[in-house]
Amino acid sequence: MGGPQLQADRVKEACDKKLGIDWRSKKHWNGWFWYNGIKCCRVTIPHSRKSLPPKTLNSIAKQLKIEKSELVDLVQCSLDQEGFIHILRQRGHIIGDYENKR
Amino acid sequence: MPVLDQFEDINDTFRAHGQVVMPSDDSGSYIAKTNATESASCWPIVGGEASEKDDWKPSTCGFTISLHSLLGYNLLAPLTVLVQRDGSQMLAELEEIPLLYGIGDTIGQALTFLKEEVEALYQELNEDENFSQDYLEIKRFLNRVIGEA
Repeated sequence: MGGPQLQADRVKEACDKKLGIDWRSKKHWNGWFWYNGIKCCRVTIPHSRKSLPPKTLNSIAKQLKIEKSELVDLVQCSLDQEGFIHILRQRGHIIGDYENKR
Repeated sequence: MPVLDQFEDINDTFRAHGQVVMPSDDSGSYIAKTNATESASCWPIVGGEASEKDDWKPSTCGFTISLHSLLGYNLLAPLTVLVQRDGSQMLAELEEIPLLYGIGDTIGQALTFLKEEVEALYQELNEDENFSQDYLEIKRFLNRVIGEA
C-alpha cells in the first residue's frame, strides 16, 4: 500500500503542540487554528487507535490548507508553526504578520 | 477498479444495513432498497425515501448520495456527499464544502459523522464573525441551506 502511517493521537498532538489548536468538541477532536484574532482553519481528527487511512489524512491536510506531505512533516517534527504560517501566507490563505492573540 | 466491481464491494456495507443497491430501470443510476421495517431506523439519510432512484449515482471513485436532512436540522436544499472506501473504512465528503468529511466502519457511520460535522460547523460559525474569508462564505452558504429542525 505504501504512504505514511500516522496515528490519530499523533496528529492531534502535533496540532496541539505546534499549532496551538483551540479544541472544541469531545466526540471527535475538532478545533480552530487562530491567526491574528481570526479563525482560519478548522480541523477534525477522529478518535481512533488505528492509523488514519490515506484519504482521511488528505482531508485533514486539506482542512489545514496544506499538502499531505506537509502534514506528515508537521507530525514528524520537521515543520513547525513558523513554517506552517509561512506556507499559508505564501498560498494567500492568511495575510499580515502573526500576533499571538485570540 | 471498474465501477461495477467497486459497486459490489461497497454493496457489502449496504447489506449490513439491511439494504440492497441495484441498477435502476434506466441504466445510469442505482436504487437503494431497504427492508420496509428498517427503512426509518437503518437508513434515514437517503433522501427520506430509499427508493428515490435519483439520489444514487455511480461515480468512478465511489457513490454520491443526496442528503435531504441532518440530525437535528432540516435542509432547505439537498447536499451532495461523495462516499468512497478509504483503507478499511468508509469516507464521506461533502461536495459543497470540501473541508468537511466523516469516516466510519460503515457508510452509515461515515454519514452520521459528516452530519455531525456540518451541524457543529454551522453552530460554530454562528457564534461570531471572527473567521477567514473562506469560512465566512461557508457560513453564508450554510445559513441559506440549513433550516430549523
